[in-house]
Amino acid sequence: MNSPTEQIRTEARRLLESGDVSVVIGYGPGSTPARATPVFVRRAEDVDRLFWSPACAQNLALYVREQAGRGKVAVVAKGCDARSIATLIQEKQTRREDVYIIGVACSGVVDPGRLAPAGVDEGTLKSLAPENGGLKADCGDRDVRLEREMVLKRACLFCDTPVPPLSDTLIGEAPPLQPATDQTLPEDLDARREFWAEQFSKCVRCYACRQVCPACYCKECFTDRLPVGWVSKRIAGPENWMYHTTRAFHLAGRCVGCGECERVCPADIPIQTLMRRMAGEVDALFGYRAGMDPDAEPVLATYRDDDEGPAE
Amino acid sequence: MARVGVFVCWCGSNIARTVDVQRVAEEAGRIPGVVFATDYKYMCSEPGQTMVRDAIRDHRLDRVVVASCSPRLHEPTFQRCISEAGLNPYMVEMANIREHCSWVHQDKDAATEKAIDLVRMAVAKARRDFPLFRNEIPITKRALVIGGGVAGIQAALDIADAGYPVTLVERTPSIGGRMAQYDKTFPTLDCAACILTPKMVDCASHPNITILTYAEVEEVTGFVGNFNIRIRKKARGVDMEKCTGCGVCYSKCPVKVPNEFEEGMGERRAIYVPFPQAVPNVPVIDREHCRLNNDLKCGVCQKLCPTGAIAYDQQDEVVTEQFGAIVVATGFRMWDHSQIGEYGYGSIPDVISGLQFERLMNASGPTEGKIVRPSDHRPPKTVVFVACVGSRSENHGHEYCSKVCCMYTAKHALLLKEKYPDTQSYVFYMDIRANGKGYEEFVRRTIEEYGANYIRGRVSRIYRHGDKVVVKGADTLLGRPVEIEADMVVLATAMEPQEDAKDLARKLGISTDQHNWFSEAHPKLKPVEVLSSGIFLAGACQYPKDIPDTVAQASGAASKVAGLFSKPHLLSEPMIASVREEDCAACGQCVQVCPFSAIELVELNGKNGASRRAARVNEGLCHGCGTCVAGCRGSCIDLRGFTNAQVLSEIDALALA
Repeated sequence: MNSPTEQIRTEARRLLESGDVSVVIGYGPGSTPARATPVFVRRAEDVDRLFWSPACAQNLALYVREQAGRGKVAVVAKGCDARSIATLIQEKQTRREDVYIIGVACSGVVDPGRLAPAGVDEGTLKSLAPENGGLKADCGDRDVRLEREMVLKRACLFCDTPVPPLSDTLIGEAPPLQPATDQTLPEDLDARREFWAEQFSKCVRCYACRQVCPACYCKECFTDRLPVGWVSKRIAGPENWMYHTTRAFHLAGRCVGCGECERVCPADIPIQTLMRRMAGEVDALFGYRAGMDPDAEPVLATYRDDDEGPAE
Repeated sequence: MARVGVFVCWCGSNIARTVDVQRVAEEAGRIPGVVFATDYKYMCSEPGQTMVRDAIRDHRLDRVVVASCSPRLHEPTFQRCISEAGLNPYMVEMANIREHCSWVHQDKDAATEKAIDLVRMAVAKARRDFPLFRNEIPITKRALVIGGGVAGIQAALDIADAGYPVTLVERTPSIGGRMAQYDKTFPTLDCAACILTPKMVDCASHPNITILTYAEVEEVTGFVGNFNIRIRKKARGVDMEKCTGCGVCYSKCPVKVPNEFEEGMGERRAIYVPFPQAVPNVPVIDREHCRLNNDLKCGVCQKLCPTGAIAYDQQDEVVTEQFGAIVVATGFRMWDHSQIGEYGYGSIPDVISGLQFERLMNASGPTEGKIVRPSDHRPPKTVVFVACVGSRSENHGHEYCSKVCCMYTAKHALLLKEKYPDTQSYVFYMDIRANGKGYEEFVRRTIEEYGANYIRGRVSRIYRHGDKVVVKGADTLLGRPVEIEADMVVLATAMEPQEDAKDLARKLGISTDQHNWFSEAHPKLKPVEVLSSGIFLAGACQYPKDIPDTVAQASGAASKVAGLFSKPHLLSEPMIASVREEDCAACGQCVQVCPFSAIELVELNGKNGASRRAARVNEGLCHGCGTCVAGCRGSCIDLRGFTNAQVLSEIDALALA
């Protein structure tokens, strides 16, 4: 069997040569072996720019929307990325027939920010490859065994859809992985408030979380809206709370848990802990998980007589 | 800079007793932007309105706050008032210091503070008011009447007589409804058929009325003046054009089925007309029971039909038509007394319902008017009538009063005695409710002239004893138990909403009460309207009613329809949602959450063939509920007259003051 990289290139070449798609959005090598960069391949002869590695962290669904209306696009998508695309289809931001999904079964991607704490100097890193459920880092002078828990994007540890629920071609097989349970939140409500107060106080309102989120596609975000009145741009306790909780509400039933928001956060706020909590509530109430079915109606926009009432 | 005038109403003592209205006016005068504030006994009265108009002129007010009652009551009054003074009618805000304040509080100081807060909020909102304008919407001047009972018939005739076309949809094979089943009607004892069947014939022959029997409303879209309604015409199995109503088909049909029209007491055939005076007089094939439909040999009706009208393979036909108004007249059903164990679970043959008794009395009923016991077909000597079966009961059936049972029970007792003078009737009742013209006199006549024995009390048990039916109860006036050996017991069972009332309500987008009766727009002042405009109620689909009330309401509904149709066009409600298309990301959430299907995604075409989509509100369909505003993540929908900015400024006025 060819490597995932080879398979992606073969598929991309076929799609571009046949003219089925106008562009293939995928990953190319980044500045270090722990980083990938999104690449847009428009000619068959350029497919060798594409590659696959545990560094392919970005959610490329982010770029699907901006390609909408420019013909069919192909996207390399992990489980979470494909769910994002499904959400975009549900929300009419693209059409299923306009996206060709090159699905990749994924066993988790690396958050380069976590390498240094794990004892790896990213600057001298030669390569990074999966090995026996963990990763092997070639640091030039030595090989370092890295456990998933140490270096993966945190959201990957909680992943329950390593295989894209929708794809036009699928590369790789489902890894034998068990999602972890998020135990970050204290049960006690006061303690939980305390926890979030501390977390949100770190926010510098750079909005990287919003910019990287494929579901945050509003033309003008509520927080940028001048006359909105109930939230300002001030970097302060209540304003930060307002920003993060409103964003969480806006993503309820829509966030697929790709964890890009958390990965790019310079203040290391566990945004996904909030989002996972929201997703759990939606699942418990309505038996609905975001992005699993592109034909499903968005859960919070529908009403059924047998819907659960609000919790007491 | 806005120039706001504040007018504080005493509402006689309704507000002034609990709120210091003068202080409210004084404080209002200090709110920034307020250039005039005063109080008056009755702001809505002509002198009060003159005061408002004069102040607009004298103080050059450009917006007005009236602190008085609910906007549901007098907002239109003051909109008219300020527009007479030259302001746009939407530049008035109501601060509800009555329902929201004086009526619900006792502490005058606290209530006054609250009233001041409410005024402050209204002023804050008024300062952000902007003129709104109504648009003209065309009207389709055709009415749909759903339900072909006496209510639907009367409404259809009145609308048709006013000169507008009407389609009358009835789901059973004939119009006529419940009233067609009755024998005589209280308190005048007119024969029901004698007064109903001419109206049925009038309907059939009226040039403005189209009758669709054996048909049901499937889907309702659109809005007042422009409803699109999908109607399923169920396959009758008989060609309406060819049938002459000769009746040969059903006289020879070999299948016998319990007759619904006779309340199960007689039989009909698998091809049948429900009753001899049916309109249209065209039979229906009951496919559930027809032999041919059950893979048995038959085809008798087809062989015998002289005009070849039988069409076994006829299919349902679905039509979509446009209507400007809808009258809902779907009536009621009778509560099933077999739920009551104490009364024999419906298993005692000589314990029957009032409606069954009605059929027994009827000359064209299963016994041709002879009142006999269903068990042995012998005339009863002693008959017990029980009122409030399933009505006014928390244990069985419904809490409400079914309103007609007192009267029809008296009628039954009277007619029984009249036909068979040697019978004795007993009536168990809780209260005698005879509050209609000639009703009380009628009941008295039944008791005094016809000797009906009225016993005040509930019946605790009914059981068989030999060929008798024993009724055990209490006479609560004498305070002693009663036991009567009767030959027959007639239960005045409750009226209840049609089983599928809720489904129809959902199709129409109208509301129902806790029992599933359709809700009127206002219990006193809008008894015929519902909250969705262009839809009106007639008859017992709203609440139990007798025939006079039903007919009166049907005529009321018809006059509302005629009033609507008499206008050249409708004016749209301007307090509706509007989309800032430039900010819309076209996610379609508003489209999905809109309960009125008033929003759609449209293509916006720019230069050089570029295009994108955005949400757009249909002004005729939007009711201004604001659901889309709450659903829009990008805040690019606003409700005119209730913009986010206005609501927020109200909150600021309250919370930051």
